Amino acid sequence: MINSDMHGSEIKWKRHSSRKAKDAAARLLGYLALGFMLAILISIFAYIIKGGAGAINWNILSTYGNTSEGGLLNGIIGTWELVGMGLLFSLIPGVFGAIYLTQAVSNRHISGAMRLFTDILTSVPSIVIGLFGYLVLVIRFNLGYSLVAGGLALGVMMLPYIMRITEMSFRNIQSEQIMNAYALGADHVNVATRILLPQASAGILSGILLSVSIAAGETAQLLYTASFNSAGLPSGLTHSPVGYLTYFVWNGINQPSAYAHNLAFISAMILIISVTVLIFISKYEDVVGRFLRRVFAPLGAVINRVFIESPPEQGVKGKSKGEKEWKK
Amino acid sequence: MEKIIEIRDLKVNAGKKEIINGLDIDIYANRVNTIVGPSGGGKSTLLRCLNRLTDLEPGIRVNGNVTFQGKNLMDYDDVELRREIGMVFQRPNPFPMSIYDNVAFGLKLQAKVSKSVMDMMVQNALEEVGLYDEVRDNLKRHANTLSGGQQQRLCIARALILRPKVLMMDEPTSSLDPVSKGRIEDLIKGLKEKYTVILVTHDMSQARKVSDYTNLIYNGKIVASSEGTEFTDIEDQDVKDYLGELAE
Ligand SMILES: Nc1ncnc2c1ncn2[C@@H]1O[C@H](COP(=O)(O)OP(=O)(O)OP(=O)(O)O)[C@@H](O)[C@H]1O
Ligand SMILES: [Mg+2]
Repeated sequence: MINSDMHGSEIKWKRHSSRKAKDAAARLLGYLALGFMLAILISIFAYIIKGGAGAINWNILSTYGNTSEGGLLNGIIGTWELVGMGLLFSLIPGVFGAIYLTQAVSNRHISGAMRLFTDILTSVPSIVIGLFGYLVLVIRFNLGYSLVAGGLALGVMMLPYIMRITEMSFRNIQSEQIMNAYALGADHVNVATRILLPQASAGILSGILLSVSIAAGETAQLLYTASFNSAGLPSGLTHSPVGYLTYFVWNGINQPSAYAHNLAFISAMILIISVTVLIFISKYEDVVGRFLRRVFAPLGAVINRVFIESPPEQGVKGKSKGEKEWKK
Repeated sequence: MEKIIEIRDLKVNAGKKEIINGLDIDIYANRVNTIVGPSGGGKSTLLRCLNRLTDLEPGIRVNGNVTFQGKNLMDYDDVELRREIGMVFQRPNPFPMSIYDNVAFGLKLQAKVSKSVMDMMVQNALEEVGLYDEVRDNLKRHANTLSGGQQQRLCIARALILRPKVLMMDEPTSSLDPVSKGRIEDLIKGLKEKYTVILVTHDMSQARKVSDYTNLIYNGKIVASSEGTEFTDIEDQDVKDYLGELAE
């Protein structure tokens, strides 16, 4: 029956040439999109670097200042202090959140809510986070314009990136491997520390780099939480404003003086170059990760040996050799 | 024959879906107990119930009465139970660490032993699966550098170092070449001296080679059990057809 159907009707095979034409058109569109993106990217880089590279000098990089006089050092250091503070607030909760999301036993409602909240968090406009940071952190919790307030405002934004990218790299680990660890008597902590984290280090690193490069370019929430400091570096963690590069860009370009414009261009140049370097590192994370592991693995092994495992050298806690004492 | 595990009226649901519905089975000590049955029939799920990996799957509900060594399965501490009922998975899945650390993994977690005892037990476990001579010059080698068959024997050693009473193996040779497969089949035959083996397989010739007692699982129920591998008095035509396909 099937046979007669198949042979009874004429089949019109698609012509090869039409597929070739479609392929060519698709390829052309792809090239056009790529060319368009490259053109935009290159013109941004060229424009910023042309404006910045001509005006840059050592004095500007090594002195404190504001947009009308002095240099950018307070902005350069302040930016990394704020981002570092943001990382401090987001890395640990982000990684723990990812571990929770990955563990099979997690409550589905809680993990669903966590995913939803982090998705919403990534789309909250930074000016809104800034406003919230000002009203709650700066005023209500009385932190003043400060590293802690600015760091928290950045951390809130960095957390979802770190958490989701870490979770993604956990998900790449074979689930049978995780189940096998449980089958050998591992508990949740064992699975996290011995199976998940060691294999996800490259992923966590790329989450850190991406969130750092995004945070370094933020302005709005810092205007509300860190204000600006032209006198130098913040004197403490709270109640002491912080300078940052995006402020020089934002404020400098509004000033009538050519000097302010120069500072704005140089700040923008430093930002895009650092961000590009970070993105490159995270792209080639396997290479960087291998390097880091080579450096840190021996250190980790030593820490493990000294603090965690430290087996008694002779026999087993008063039992004769060959017997085991099962852990309770 | 001594029964080490008795399963009565086991029911497993995933949401509304019934995976296993009212299954009875006896597992005999120091025998190779084989389970055959069509894909999706619930064989892997059954194994996961026995070491309570199902506890880790929030969507799965297990009911029924299972006794292991005369004690209800639910009265065991889950980690202690998993020490006594070991498991080998379908695909070799060494952890990304050295051969030594792979084998030592479970023992490190569950017991306090000195370095020298640990070394000895790792060596014993590797010898039991016939891997020691192949890897003895470098136990620090990364486990991923082993061949597929060696990796699977490593996974068996990793389970055996805990000295389980029962070793469950879920299609342990399905991803291996014929030679590696043969080695593991020989290994299984030797294991029953010390352990009770539960083997899941699709391969009737493998069952014929190693099985002492064979159970046929179909639609979440045991439809036939027999010493050896010959099933008589099967009435259900679907089951007969399935056996016919297997025999080909
Ligand atoms: N966590 C789960 N949620 C929903 N359904 C599941 C779950 N685990 C297993 N199942 C279903 O239960 C049935 C039995 O699965 P199981 O893996 O036990 O089959 P199997 O007999 O081992 O098959 P195979 O021979 O292909 O390995 C399948 O239909 C499967 O889709
Ligand atoms: Mg299966």
